[in-house]
Amino acid sequence: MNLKGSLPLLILHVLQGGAKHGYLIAKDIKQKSQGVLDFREGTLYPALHQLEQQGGIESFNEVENGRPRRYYRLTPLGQQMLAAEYAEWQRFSAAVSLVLSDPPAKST
Amino acid sequence: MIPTARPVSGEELELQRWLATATNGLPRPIRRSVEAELTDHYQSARDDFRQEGLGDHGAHLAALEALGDARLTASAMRRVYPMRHHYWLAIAASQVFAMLLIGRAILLPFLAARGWIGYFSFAVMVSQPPCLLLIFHTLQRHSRHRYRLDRSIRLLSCGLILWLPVLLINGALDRIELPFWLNAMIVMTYAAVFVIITVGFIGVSASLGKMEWGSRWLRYAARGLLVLDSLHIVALLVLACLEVRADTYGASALIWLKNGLELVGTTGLAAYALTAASLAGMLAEALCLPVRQAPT
Repeated sequence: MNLKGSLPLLILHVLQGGAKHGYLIAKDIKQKSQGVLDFREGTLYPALHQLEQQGGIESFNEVENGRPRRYYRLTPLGQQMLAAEYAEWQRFSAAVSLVLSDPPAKST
Repeated sequence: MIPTARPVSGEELELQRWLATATNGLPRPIRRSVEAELTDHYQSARDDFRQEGLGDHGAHLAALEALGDARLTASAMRRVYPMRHHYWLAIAASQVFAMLLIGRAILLPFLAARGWIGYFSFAVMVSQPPCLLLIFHTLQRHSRHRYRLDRSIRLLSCGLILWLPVLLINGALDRIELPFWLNAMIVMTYAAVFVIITVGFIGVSASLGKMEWGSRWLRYAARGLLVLDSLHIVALLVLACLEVRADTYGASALIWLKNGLELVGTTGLAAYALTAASLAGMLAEALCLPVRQAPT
């Protein structure tokens, strides 16, 4: 399913649980959505770097099993961004649910 | 013994091709960092696919497929980072700008002259704002992820955008006899636009002065620029007021002061030349130094 601009919100939400590297973030999103949000993982990094530029997340390097990795964690600004984006998403999904409350008519 | 290069497997070659497409056009330090991160992602995915029971080649293909279309990643990256050609263009523009400044200083007396020299002088004047806009457009994109210059650069860009029509109008009307009130309005508008530009310059140079640059002379240049710009802004303001008053009342007593201030005003030229040099240095630095430390 196409994420349609909701990737930053998902990234911020996943990072709420602690610092993670890119692969783990992608894996978390896929696992939590039970495979429905199967996005192209290469596009995760531009989104991560943009969030970092905006100050929502910060990165640091750490060595894991002898392999150097870039980890990302949420900043205080990121917490605020997450709260705002989450509220916006709730409003949006509630509005869509209202519109779609009637089931589609069956074609004859 | 001559060292031989390690043979590259077909899988590695495919990955390198994918990475080259995904990071195409990014400045070298950013490209290295992004490539390192994407390679780590690919390796983690490949290891996971192997554990799930896929063979080496199958795991490689699945990991590459999970990364998706490299062109999509590249186009998303272009929205986040300034591209290499932006920097080269801006460096070229800053050099052209410096040359235009020298040309402007030489050609200024001929601005109102009739014939080709008048038009040429006017063209030199008008060519400056587009050059500066190109420089600052790049700087603004660069500053978003490295420096915090955005507000000053925005101010400067706005001033430069305003400057272009003011220059055009000013140059066109220079050849016509104008009523006093219109002349005064043009002078005041010109001064107001210059104030915006100069405040932007001061902001940028103050930020540049705070940066931890490798080369000391660029820091000194930025501080010098700050002083010169401050002098220039005061000179321009007073000059604009005096010009109007001298034109109205023919106040000859003010002429010597006006001439003196014009002299101070020319320090602005030196300030802009310094800015062009500083920007060229900064942009060149952006091309050479690591922006994000790549995992090594």
